[in-house]
Amino acid sequence: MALPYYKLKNLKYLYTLVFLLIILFSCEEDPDIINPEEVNTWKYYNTSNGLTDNMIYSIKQDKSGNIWVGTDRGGINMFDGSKWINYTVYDGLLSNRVYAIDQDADGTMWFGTSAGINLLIDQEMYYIDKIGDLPIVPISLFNDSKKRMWIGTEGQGIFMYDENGFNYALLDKTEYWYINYITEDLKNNVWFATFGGALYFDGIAFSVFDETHGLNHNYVTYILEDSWGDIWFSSFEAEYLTRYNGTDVELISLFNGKPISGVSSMVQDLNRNIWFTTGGAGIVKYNGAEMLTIKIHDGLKDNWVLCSTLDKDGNLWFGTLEGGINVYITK
Amino acid sequence: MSVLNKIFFFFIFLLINYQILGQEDNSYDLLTERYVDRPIAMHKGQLQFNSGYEFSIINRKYDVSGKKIDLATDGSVSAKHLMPFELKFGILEYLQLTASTGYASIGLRNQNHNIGSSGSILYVSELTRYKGFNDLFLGTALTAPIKWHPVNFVISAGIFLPLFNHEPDKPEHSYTILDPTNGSASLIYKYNNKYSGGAMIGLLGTSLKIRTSRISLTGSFIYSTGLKDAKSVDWKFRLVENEFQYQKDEYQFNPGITINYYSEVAVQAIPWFTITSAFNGYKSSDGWSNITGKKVGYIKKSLNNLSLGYEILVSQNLRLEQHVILPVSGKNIMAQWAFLTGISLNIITFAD
Repeated sequence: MALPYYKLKNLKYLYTLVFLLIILFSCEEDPDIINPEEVNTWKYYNTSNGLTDNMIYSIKQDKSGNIWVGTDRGGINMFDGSKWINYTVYDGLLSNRVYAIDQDADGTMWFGTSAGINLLIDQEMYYIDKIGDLPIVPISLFNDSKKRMWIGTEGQGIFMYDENGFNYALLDKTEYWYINYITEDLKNNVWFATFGGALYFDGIAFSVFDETHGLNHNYVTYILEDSWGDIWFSSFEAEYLTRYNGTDVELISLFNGKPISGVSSMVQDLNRNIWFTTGGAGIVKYNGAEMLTIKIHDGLKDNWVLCSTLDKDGNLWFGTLEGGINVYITK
Repeated sequence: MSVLNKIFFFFIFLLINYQILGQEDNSYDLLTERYVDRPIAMHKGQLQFNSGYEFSIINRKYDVSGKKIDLATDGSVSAKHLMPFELKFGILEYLQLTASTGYASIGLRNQNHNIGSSGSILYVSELTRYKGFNDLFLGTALTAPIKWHPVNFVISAGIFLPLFNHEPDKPEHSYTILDPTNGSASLIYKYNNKYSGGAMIGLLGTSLKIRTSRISLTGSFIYSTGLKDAKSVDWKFRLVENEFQYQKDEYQFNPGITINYYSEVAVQAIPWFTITSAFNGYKSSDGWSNITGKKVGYIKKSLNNLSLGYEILVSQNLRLEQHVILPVSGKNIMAQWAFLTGISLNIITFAD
């Protein structure tokens, strides 16, 4: 049977239409798109590829995106995205043992070393080894939203630096003089993790949040406000983590019921997972419901993890006891 | 019943009633064309409604290197039910209009896992459901005016319109304490997604059919791409005092580029019975989402299938087809054995 084919008189219009559709559908590659094959992988930095020491006490990203690393015996290592630059006592550091790092509102880098504070201003290293007549060992630093630099020390209490100079917080109990970590919540309370519980400063006075308020253990190592607005307290001694919503306290088991290993730091990723670094039990990732343990056989170089931070690209940086820096690429 | 559903059923009603009115003289010849003679697109005035049911067993996946992983070994075999709906109309002998969608119900199970050891164990399982209508496809097919019968060449273009709700419903996770003394518990993640993709996708393709008296060879190539960035929501969750709390975060995504290819050999055993064998597949790339605030690309996927089937010309208006589809290779994808039964209802609405 002959099929009734239709005569197309204006073929050129058809071809023009097809050509326009091809142009419409063609697209350029977006350079901002992150390659998915690089996500959920590890990167490692240690003495074999740029670090001066494999024991890492502190990691901090500055406003320009550089990563600053405080080590046990290797001073400071700074990663600018392509190479590591080292600062040691030969560059003006008071000590090569660097416990804490932060940047103030003017861009000055503050370093808490075992012999005092160093400041890096326009590539010049300055130092403060005493406040008044008191030699200090700053083990935590935090620049708050009001441009105040808080200095937590090992046994000398809390100092605060603002436009009027240094101030000293008069705290009655000696347990409050050991400041493991300092942070700020969304209500602008500044929190301090101490040996005697958590302290918070509301702009007027210090208050205490301790075992009498439901805290699992007074030896607080780290404080984190999560994206839900709850505040987490970790300890090196406790069986549970403490989650506080401003009214109620809930104790969270790190290993779904099993006693915890001490938690040294906490960090939340862009997917709202909270990562707990532990002393000897690797890292525990909490997705809001279950705890997933990540250890050496999962890619970590050391199960002793001392510190952590989230960089601007969403990657997690972990500082270990002997395994250098382990970076988990997660977006 | 939504407005779209009402329009859809109205069309079906019209289509069924048209059959009663009878056809022009040559419509019988056009509608009873043998499979190998049939052009790719509709004849002028031909209205065709296709539907059916596809049952799939998702029983394997292919990893990044293309290695096959048997899902039966970890107890995560899943099922898919799909009902496609398609309406084609030959507005001219060289121009066909198409509208299609489909309703699906899929339940994907992840491998169960346990956390903890004797005494205190957390039993974790996960079910991800996809349910609902797919995006509405509107397309056109232009047949090249080649009068030489053995060759039939078609260029097609179309667009997927995200008319149906595509945002996932709130998950229904649950946490149940099984043994309060030891702390054992059961954790079930239950995600409620929609089948609709939710993005406007443009499509461009070509098809070629080579016809002999007993055999036809068909090949087609379709390129599709997201025409603009789409929006969806991601449900964040957390467990508080053994109850789940949820927060909805909006994000953008783009489905990227998909290339589909299809080749088929059909043998006309007898005028009303045809055996077909096909090889088809697709590759997807360049998609992304920014659920975390960063634009992360979708992992590239590919899948190739082999299928074997037949078509029976039941009556002047009705055709029946059945196919078995088997996955043969792929990358980064779950794959399924599929069993498709399709019907095709045809009428000529007016004669030339």
